[in-house]
Amino acid sequence: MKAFFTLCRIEIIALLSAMNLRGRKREKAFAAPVAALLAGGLMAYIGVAYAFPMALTLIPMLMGDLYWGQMVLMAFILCLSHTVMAGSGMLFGGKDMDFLFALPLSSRTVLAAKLLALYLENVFLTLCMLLPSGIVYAMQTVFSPSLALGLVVVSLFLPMFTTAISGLVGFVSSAIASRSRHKNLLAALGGLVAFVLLMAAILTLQTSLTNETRLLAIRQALWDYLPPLHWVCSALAGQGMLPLLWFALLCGGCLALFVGLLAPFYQPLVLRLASRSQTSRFVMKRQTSGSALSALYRKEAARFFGSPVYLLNCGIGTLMLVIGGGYLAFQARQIRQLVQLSGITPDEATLLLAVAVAFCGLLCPPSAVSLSLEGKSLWLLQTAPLSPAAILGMKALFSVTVLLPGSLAILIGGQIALGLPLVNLAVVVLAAVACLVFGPLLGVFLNLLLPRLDAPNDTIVVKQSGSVMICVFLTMGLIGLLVIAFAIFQPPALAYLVACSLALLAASGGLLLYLLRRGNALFAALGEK
Amino acid sequence: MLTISHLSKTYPGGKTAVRDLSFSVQPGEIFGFIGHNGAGKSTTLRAAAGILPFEAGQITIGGFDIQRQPVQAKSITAFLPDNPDLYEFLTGIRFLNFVADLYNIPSDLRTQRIAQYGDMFEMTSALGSAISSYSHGMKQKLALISALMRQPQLLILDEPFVGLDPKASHLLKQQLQQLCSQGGSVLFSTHVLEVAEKLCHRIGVIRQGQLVACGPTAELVGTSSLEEVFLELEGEGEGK
Repeated sequence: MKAFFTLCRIEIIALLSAMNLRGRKREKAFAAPVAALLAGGLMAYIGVAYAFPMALTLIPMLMGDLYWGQMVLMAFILCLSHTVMAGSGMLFGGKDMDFLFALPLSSRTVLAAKLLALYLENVFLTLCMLLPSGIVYAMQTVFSPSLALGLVVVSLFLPMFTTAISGLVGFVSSAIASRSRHKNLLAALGGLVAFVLLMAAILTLQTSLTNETRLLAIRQALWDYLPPLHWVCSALAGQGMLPLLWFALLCGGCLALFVGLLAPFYQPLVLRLASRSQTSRFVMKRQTSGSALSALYRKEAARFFGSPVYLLNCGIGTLMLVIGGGYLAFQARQIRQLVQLSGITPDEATLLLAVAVAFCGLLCPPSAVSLSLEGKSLWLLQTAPLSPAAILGMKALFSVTVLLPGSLAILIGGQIALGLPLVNLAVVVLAAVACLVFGPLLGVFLNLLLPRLDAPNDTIVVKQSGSVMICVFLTMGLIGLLVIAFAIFQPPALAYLVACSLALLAASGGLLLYLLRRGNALFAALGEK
Repeated sequence: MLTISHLSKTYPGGKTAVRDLSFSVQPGEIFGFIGHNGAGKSTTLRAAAGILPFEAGQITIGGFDIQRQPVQAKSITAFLPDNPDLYEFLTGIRFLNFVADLYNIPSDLRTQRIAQYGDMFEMTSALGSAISSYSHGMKQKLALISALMRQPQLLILDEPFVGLDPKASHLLKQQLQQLCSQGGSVLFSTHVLEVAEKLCHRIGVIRQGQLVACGPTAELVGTSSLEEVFLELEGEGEGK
C-alpha cells in the first residue's frame, strides 16, 4: 500500500508539472490563477448554459430527479469525451514503464497508480458540472446538508466509473493496435468512433429532453434501463440517501473489477506495444531535395498525422466544421425551411455561422502544442541554421492549413443552405479569416510562454498542458462573452460581426508584433528548460 | 575555427555552470573536453552549438558570432548531444532528408553521402523503418550520419562514444580524423580518457565551470597517463 501511495504521489507531481502548476515561480504565478479562472469560468458557463434552463423547466414540474438525471449523465459524458481518447496514452504511453515494471511492485499496483491521473481529471470535470448544478438546484428549491453530502459522494464515485470506462477503451484500442502494423491509424480510428458515439449521445439526450410532452416517458425509460442513475438521482432530489451507498459501491466496484481483471494483461500488453519491428528493407535510390521551410512544414505534417492523440484533439475542430459543412450542404432544403419557420433573418444566420466557425476553428489549434511536442528533440531545431521566426512561422502556417479545410467546408455548406446575400457572405468570410489568423498565432504565443518539453508522451502534452487548456478555455470564454454581449446590447448583427473580426485581426497583429520582437528570446530561452 | 572568450553561464536557478571560460579550436584540430559530471562540459558545448543563451563572453565559429549571426554560424556546424532524441515519427531516410533540406544539400550529393555513411555504419537497410523502431545505438548512428553528411567545418559532440558498438566507435574515430585532415575541427567531451588521449591533438580539463588545464595532449600528459593527470587535477580541486 505504501508503494502504491508513493507511485500516486509521483503521478500527481507529473500531472501538476504537465499543467505548469509546479515548477518555476513565474510560471506558477501565471498558470495557477489562470487555471483557477478557467475552471470557475467553465463552471459558470455550465451553470448558465445547461443547469439553469433545465432547472427552470423540470423543477416546477416536480421532476427534480430527472433534472439530476440530465446533469449526472452530462457530467459522465463530459468526462468521457475528455478522457476516453487519453486512456490509451495515459496507461500505455509512459516512458517510465520499464523502470516501474523492474520495481518489486505488482502490475495491479502500477495500473492503479497510472489510473490516478485519469481519475483526478474526471473528478475535476465532474465537479465542474455538478457544483453549478447543485447551486442552481438549491436556488430553485432549498439547500440541505443531504444535497451537499450527495454531491460530494457523486463527485468522488462517479469518476471511478468513468475512469474504468476510459481505461477499458484504452485497453481495448491498445490491444487491437498492438496486433497491427498500423497502430497509429487504428488508434486514431478507434478514438474517432468513440468520440462520434459520445457526440451522438449528447445530441440525442439534449434533443429528447427539449420535448416536454415526452418527459415522463423519458424518465421512465432512464430509470428502467439505468437503475444506478435512478439511485443517485432520487438521492440528490431528496428521496433518501441509502441508494447513494449502492451507487458508490457499484462505481468503486467497477474500477476495482477493471484493475483486478485486466492487471494480469497489463505488462504483456505494454511490452508488446513497445516491441520494435523493422518492417521494410530499404533500398537506396536517388533522393530529392527541397527547401528548409518546406522541410519544416512537412515535418509538422508528419508529426500531426503520425500521432493519433494530436490528430484527434487538434483536428477535431476542423473535422466538426467539415461534418457541419457537409450536413448543411446535403440538408440545405430542410435547413432553409427551418430558418424561415424560425424567423431567423439573414444577418442572424450569418452571425450563427460565424459563431460556429469561431467556436470550432479556435478550439485547439495545433500550434498550441506543436512546440511542446518537440520535447527533447528540440535541439534539432535549435541547432538548425534557421531563425526562430521561420520555425515558429511554419508551426503557425501548418495550423492555418489544418483549420482551412474546415472553414472552407462550413462556408460553402452554409452558403448552399442559407443563400446569404453577398455582403453577409463577405462578412462571414472576414470572420473566418480573422479566426484563421488569430488561432494559430495565439497557439504559438501560449506555447512559447508555457512550453512542456519533458512530457513522457504526446497524450500528456495534448490533454493536460497549460497552453492547451488556456487556449481552449480562453477562446471558448471569448466567444461566450461576445455572444452574451450581443444578446444584451442587441447591436446590428453585421456591424457587430465586422467589429469583432477587426478586433480579432488587431489582436492578431499585436500577437505577431510581440512574437517578432520577443519570439527569438523566448525560443532561445527554451534551451534552459 | 571555434573561439570561446570569457564565457560565463548562470542558470535561472542561480547555479553558475561555467565561469570565465576561454579556449579555441583550430582548423584541423581535435579538441577533447574532459571533466567530472556537472563540471560544465555539456553547458559549454550547448552554448557553442547555439542552444543555450549565455550572459557573458563571446563564441565565434568561423568568424561568426553565435549570438549575433546564429544562422551563419550554425550552417557550418554540426552538433550531437549526449543522448540524441530524434523525430521518432519519421523513418530514417525521411529524417536524413529533413536534415539535408535544412542544410541545403543538393539531391545528388545527399544521395551519395547517405549511401556512403549508411553503408559505413551498416544502417542502409534500416533507413526505411520508423526511428521509433530503432535501438539506442541505431539512433546514435543515424544522428552521426546526419552530422557527417553535412561535412561541417566544426563538429561538436557530447559523449559521442556512449552507446556505440566497438566497430562504430572505431569508424567514428576514423571519420573524426578524416574530417580534421580535410581542414575541419572537432570539439568533443568524453569520460573515456584513453580515447581522448589517443585521438585528441589538444585537451582541456574543466572543473566547476573553469578550465584548469589546457594544452597539446603530449605536453599535458607528459610521461604519465591522462588518467593520472586528470585524477591529480581533481585531487588538487578537492584539496582546495
